[in-house]
Amino acid sequence: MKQFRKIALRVTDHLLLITASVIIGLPFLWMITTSLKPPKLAFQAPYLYPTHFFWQNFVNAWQEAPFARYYINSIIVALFVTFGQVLTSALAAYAFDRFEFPFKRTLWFTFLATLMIPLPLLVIPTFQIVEHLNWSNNLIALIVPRCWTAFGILLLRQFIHSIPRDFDDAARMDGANTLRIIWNVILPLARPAVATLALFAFLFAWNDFLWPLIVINSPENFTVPLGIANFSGKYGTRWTLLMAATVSATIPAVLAFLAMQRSLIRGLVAGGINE
Amino acid sequence: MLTRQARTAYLLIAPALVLFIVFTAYPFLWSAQISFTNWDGMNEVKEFVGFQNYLNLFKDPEFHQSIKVTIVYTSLVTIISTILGFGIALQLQRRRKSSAVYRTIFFSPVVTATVAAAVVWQLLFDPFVGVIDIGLRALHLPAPNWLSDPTWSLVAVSIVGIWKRLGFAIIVFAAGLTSLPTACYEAAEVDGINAWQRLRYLTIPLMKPVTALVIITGIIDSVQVFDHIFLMTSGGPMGSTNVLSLYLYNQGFRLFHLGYASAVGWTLFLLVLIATMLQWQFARRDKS
Repeated sequence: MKQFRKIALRVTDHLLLITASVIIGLPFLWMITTSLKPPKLAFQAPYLYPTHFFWQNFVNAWQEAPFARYYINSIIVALFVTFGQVLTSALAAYAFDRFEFPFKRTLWFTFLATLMIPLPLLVIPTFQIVEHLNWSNNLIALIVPRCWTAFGILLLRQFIHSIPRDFDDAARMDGANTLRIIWNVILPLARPAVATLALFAFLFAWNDFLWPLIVINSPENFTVPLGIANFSGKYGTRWTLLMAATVSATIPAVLAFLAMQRSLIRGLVAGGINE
Repeated sequence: MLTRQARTAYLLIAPALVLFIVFTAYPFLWSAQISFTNWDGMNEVKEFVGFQNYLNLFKDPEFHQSIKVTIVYTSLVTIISTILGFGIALQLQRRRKSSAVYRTIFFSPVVTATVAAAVVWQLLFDPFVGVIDIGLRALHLPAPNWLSDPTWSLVAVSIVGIWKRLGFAIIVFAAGLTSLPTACYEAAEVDGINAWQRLRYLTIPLMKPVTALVIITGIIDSVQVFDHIFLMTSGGPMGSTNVLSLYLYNQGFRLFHLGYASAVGWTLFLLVLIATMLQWQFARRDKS
């Protein structure tokens, strides 16, 4: 009887998990299936698994819009933002955890309070600032303002706090200066937290839409989201072509992120969650 | 005079601090100032109008609707994704062997660019050839005209919001469940409590901090939603999905009412502030 209940529980668990997976995965299945249909069959069943492989849609989509260009722009922006956020956060987090200085608490709480500021509120004045700096319609406008984050400082500070100061002292005895200690001792030890921050920073920059929509206006500087939005406005009725474009814009990114998911989950467990 | 240590500390904080001042603090304060003017962004002259923009907002029915829509959207997305996320994470926890596969599937919406997902969902919701309505008709259920019917449009964009948010909730809950202290569970096992009691008196209370994190990030995220609604409905039909960010965008970057748009932005900030305060209040009550 007990055995039976165990199996029953197992079956219902998996049934529920599979149902959830199908519902969550439905847009992906449909997108891939449609992208591979010949245009004439766009509205016909089957909807969720491909029976045709009409690759011409992809050729056409890439001819209609420079997706390679969008990809390169998005990658440049996302990499610089990721690097910038990790760098500024690591330096600041180390200072907040290890040193005493005037206005430390005030500064800390001011930083934390910025987490509550909605981005749409900042967009109007930031646009004016960026115009002043002559950065509008330039990728640099998508990078520099995004290179600091209170979230990153918070996340890294919590993690650095759990690293014993003995490590710093040992390195200092060996003649290392503060930058060296951060780079060679602290960052390697804080890897799970750094990986989490890097992933969040990359995702954020990769997804960003409102800000690029306002600052960027020439197609050669479009990031992937801008490119897709523009493409959908132009070819909204040609579903197979449009889906070939969305598959191109999403699947490689999804695969890359999923390859990294292990370190993300480890980082989530390590930092922030169980303080 | 600063000590050596303080000097080093300031040097290390400097990069973040400079960016904070130029791109967060200064714009934040400036937007407050803009909200007291009727600036159009081009004219050099900014006329000071006092609280006029805020007074106008109070009388603006479009703004009232926008607030209502934002609160409904935020509540729907946060509550449903938190509950579903917790439930699914519990099951994932019991089926640890196969959880990697499921986790991958659940997490893929999170890493999909929202704009691309919006394009797909827009077609899925098509009343004639969209898969959702085809499915509903096959089950002899009513198949609404999702995106052009004001009673359903907000539900439709909320579904996309939940879909996008759920994976994050699941992963965070799953991580939290993994790090629960096993000692409590072993003690409970000895006392012979059943599965329901274990969930009610052990897991849920122990998961409170994680739940708080999921809820507060959920609120801050959804209250400023823009991307997929801009693409799917542009706030329509009849303002039924016109969330605050969209209203701000249209006022600020279509009509160039920068003062008015900034006032909308400050209301948005106020909403986030209230949500965070409430959250703190709950957290403090729990501790005592």
